Amino acid sequence: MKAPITEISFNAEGLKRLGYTKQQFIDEFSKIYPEADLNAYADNMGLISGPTVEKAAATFAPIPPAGPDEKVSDPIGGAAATGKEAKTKEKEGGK
Amino acid sequence: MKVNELVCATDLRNTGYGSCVFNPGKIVSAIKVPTNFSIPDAFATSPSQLRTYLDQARLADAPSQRIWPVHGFKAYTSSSEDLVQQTLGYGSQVPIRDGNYRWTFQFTDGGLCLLKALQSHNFQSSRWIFVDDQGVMIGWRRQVATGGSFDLTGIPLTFHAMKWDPNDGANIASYRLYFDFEPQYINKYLGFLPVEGFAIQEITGLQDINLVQSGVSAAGVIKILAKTGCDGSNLYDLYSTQLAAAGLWNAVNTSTGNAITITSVAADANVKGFTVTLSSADPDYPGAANGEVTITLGGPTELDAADISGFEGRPITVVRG
Repeated sequence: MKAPITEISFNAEGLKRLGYTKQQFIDEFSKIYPEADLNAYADNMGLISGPTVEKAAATFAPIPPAGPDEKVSDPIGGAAATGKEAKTKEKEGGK
Repeated sequence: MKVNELVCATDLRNTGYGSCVFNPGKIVSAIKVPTNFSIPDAFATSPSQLRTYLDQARLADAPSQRIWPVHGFKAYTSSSEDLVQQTLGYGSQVPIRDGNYRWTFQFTDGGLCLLKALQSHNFQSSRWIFVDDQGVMIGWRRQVATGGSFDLTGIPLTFHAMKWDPNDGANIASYRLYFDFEPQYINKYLGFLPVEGFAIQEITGLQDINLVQSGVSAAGVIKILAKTGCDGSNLYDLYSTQLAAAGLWNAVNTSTGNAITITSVAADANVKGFTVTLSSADPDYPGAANGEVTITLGGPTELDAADISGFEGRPITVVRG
């Protein structure tokens, strides 16, 4: 019998930076972690409710590539950061 | 000193001695150290500082800044050069120079795995500090900075982890390390530092963690096993909780080298490994299913902070699926 995977370490900052809504998060990760209480994880991470994946595909603008020298807004610290810096920050926050 | 004026024998030492002298014991350990590595003179009176200093150095994330301890030497063979002399026409011999030291140490602990690891250090310039069986570190005493203290540093030498010889029925398989260096470093410039308060053998080398894929990738969902580099032991039972942390894993697009966001990591008891998921929304996520990603763990310092002490992860490259 397969052991359920219910203890998951999510990269909260990364998911927020990538613009995941609660519903998108649940839709995507329920296929990977079907036994996990993703609703609780989403709430703990503070993911906001939003459109489903189908709606999101139509309404969300694609995230522009963040090159090493390209500035992107940093939703965590508020200050501008390069793509690499932003990813570094999210890793630090995800520990 | 003036032109045409010699300064001879200005540093003749007296020959009296007290009751406490240094007689080196058997060399039982050697530590490869970075070129710029030195143990400050002040640490001679602070064992805890020395311990912390060495511990941090063994965990250095950059290999060029790391120390590489090797312990457990069991036998020593000298093939050092004799004093090099010239025989003159009337029969007298005059010394030209001291011969080089050529030391060979045999070890058994760590076996072929340790030997292979040390062979990766062959054919590189390297500096080493030796340790005797009394816990005295022996190296090159030098003033690293002008006006600074005289510190203990590594001896510049030629190192070679020799090819192994098989067990012949009477002798075990032989693993030997060869060190060749000029005698001045441990004679004229000898530096030694007794280690007190802890055993130098507590400062151990890092173990590799080999990441191994389980199954096949599926759209950025990758199952990875963490195994020790030497014997392939699965580390899941020891570190499943610690390794199941998204912040401890890194992924890059193999072709561009740009980081890809890891969205989650979870321990999976079914494969005794870890589910690592990559964000397909990340602009650096490979466009094609056969695009490759390289996954690794955080550096030794980061692993140590997560209570996975004494390890360094080796990267694995897989298709993202």
